[in-house]
Amino acid sequence: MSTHPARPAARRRLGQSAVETMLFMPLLVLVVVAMYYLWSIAWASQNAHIRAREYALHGDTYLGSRGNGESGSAPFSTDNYKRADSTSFRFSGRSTDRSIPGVSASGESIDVTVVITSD
Amino acid sequence: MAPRRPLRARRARRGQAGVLIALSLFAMLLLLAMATNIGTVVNDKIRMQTTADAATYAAAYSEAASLNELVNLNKGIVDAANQCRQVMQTGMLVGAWPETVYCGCQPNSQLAEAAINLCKVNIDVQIGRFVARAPYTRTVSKAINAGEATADANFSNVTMSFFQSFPGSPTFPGARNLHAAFNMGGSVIMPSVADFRQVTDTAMNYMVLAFCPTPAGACVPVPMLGRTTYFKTWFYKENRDPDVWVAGRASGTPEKQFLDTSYRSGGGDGGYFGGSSTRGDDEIFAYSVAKPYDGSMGPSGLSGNQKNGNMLGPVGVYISRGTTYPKLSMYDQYRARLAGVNENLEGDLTPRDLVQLDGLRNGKIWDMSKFKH
Repeated sequence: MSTHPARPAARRRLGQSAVETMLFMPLLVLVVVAMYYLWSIAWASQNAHIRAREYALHGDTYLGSRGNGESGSAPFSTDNYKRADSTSFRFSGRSTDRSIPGVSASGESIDVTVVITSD
Repeated sequence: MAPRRPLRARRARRGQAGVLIALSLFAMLLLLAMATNIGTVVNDKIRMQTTADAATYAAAYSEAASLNELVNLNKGIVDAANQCRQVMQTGMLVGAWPETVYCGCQPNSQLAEAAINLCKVNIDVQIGRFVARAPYTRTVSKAINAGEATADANFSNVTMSFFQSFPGSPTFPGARNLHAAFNMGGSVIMPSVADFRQVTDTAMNYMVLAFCPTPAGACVPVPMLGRTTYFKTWFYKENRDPDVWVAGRASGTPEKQFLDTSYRSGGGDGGYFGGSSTRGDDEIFAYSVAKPYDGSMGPSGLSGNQKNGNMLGPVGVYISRGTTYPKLSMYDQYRARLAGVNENLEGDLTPRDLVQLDGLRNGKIWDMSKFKH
């Protein structure tokens, strides 16, 4: 008995998974890219928050040469906390994070400012 | 020969991949939502801890600044007392005070007593300045305001507490008190930033140039030691530094909506990761401790003559002439630093006690082994 009549159906099925994969792959890539992007933002944000906080408390002294776009003023001098001069005060630490590829690639940055103030 | 699959079976397989794709996508989107949720929680936790640290530090810095001002006002009292002593002991220009009744041969001098009364007024003015600056409302309340302002500046929707309502906390009104008395009369005990006691028996004396009669009927000058007057003068902190500290707690539910659930403050819905938000399970808590340090209101841990002002030093208050005592150590160098929950700070409650109690008040039992600092 010939099997010939079954060939067209088999051929049709041969391309089916490729087409399905082709359709599925962009969605998969999209989801993976989205996860990476979100991870990058979360990482950069957390990094910026921690660095801004350290700058607000310790200034350049703590960060040293590892500075990554921090600025502000801190109640800390070379090797110790400064004398508390006045009950009216304001210190701040600002960190701009561009270090994460997923963020910097799109030209974005995350700015975080931590404030220590009397009013 | 391979048997052909029945037509029904082939039809059943059609769309199978679509279902798998749909399921896979759903699972991935769920993972994406969870990853975002975790990121949000971690980010909020970091921000909450930063807020707690910054706010508590601000409060401690404000207290340090108040203490520095108080140190300088305390020096003002010492200076006034010292000035008085110099006047009394040098006897103004002549080296001794004239006696009240000529040739009375008594160590009394009306002029010296008038000078002493003026001294009392001058010292009281300085004590008044210290007392006016020291109250709770001008030190601790001011510090708490700074802490709250800092919290607001860093994170909205956050509740900041400095444990003002916890008896035993240094920020509780009345936990630390100022005990003050005036030379012209009156005394006061009031809540303050630290336990301030006052030296109440700084003694001062003076020399009287008395004239005593001789058998021959003449009057000859005889220097005599006048009466000793005790003054209320400067303040000292009974406990040195570890009793002045601030503990703070930042808490709240920063995000009102999450990817896996919508938040309702009334509870009964899902919280982070689908947990119940009833009883504030959605709240994030962060604790911090900070303290002023490195300054000094004056010597502490002293006793007897030392504590009572028998000292000779740069500020010059002493009683026993010719005897040198340890220097007064008044340093307006208070700074602030972050401390740890586990640091050995003094008070009716330690920071660790406060954190545990605060947890219980909020229906939580903290695992204290997770507080590493």
